Amino acid sequence: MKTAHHGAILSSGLLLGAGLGGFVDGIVLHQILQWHNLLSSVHPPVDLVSMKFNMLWDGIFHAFTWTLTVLGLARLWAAGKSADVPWCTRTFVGSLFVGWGLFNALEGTIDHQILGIHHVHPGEGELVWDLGFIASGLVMIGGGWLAIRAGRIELPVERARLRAPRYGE
Amino acid sequence: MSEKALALDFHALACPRCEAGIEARQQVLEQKPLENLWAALLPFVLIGVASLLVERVGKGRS
Repeated sequence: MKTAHHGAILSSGLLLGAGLGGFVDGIVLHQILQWHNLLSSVHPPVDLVSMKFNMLWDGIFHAFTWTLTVLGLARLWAAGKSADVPWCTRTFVGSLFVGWGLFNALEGTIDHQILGIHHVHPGEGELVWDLGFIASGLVMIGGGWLAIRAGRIELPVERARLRAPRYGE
Repeated sequence: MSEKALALDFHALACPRCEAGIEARQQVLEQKPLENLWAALLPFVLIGVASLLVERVGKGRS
């Protein structure tokens, strides 16, 4: 009898969730709303050179989020080719949210609170925005964890859906 | 400074071919970031490590 393991689907979801969550941060908060840049609290973008300097580091930030996304895709591809990985939507979506939540919680704690290199919405009430950002991450981790658990309860059904190895595998 | 002069000045600074633009770009590259700046990218490393651990634990608990 085949045994199912969620490891590959969980790790791919975690990486993809963190990568896509990083892109939401970069695209929405850095570029569309222009609330902050990666270094805007220590190198405020007040002239063209400091703007370009922040742009450079925003690019490095995006390069890392892109790398996480590509690694997540690679893991997902490997999981798809493995016959013992249950293709469970709840597990995958749950792990996407855990990944995104981890990104917000870690980035919020390290970059905003410990290093103080930028804040979500600088100015009056910036601490509230920063704590809200970390809280949003913790909520996503909790919600994702519940979805993953629900996926495990479904496992007996999902196990029946384990697909047979394809021709040539 | 008139609006036109400001626009010209900005062009010179931003243009990758104008001398001032090249100099501005050089200044960007020469700016020393904070010593602990790479720590800002630590969340990415931690998430990578977490995903590796999750994969191993997920396999082990099957």
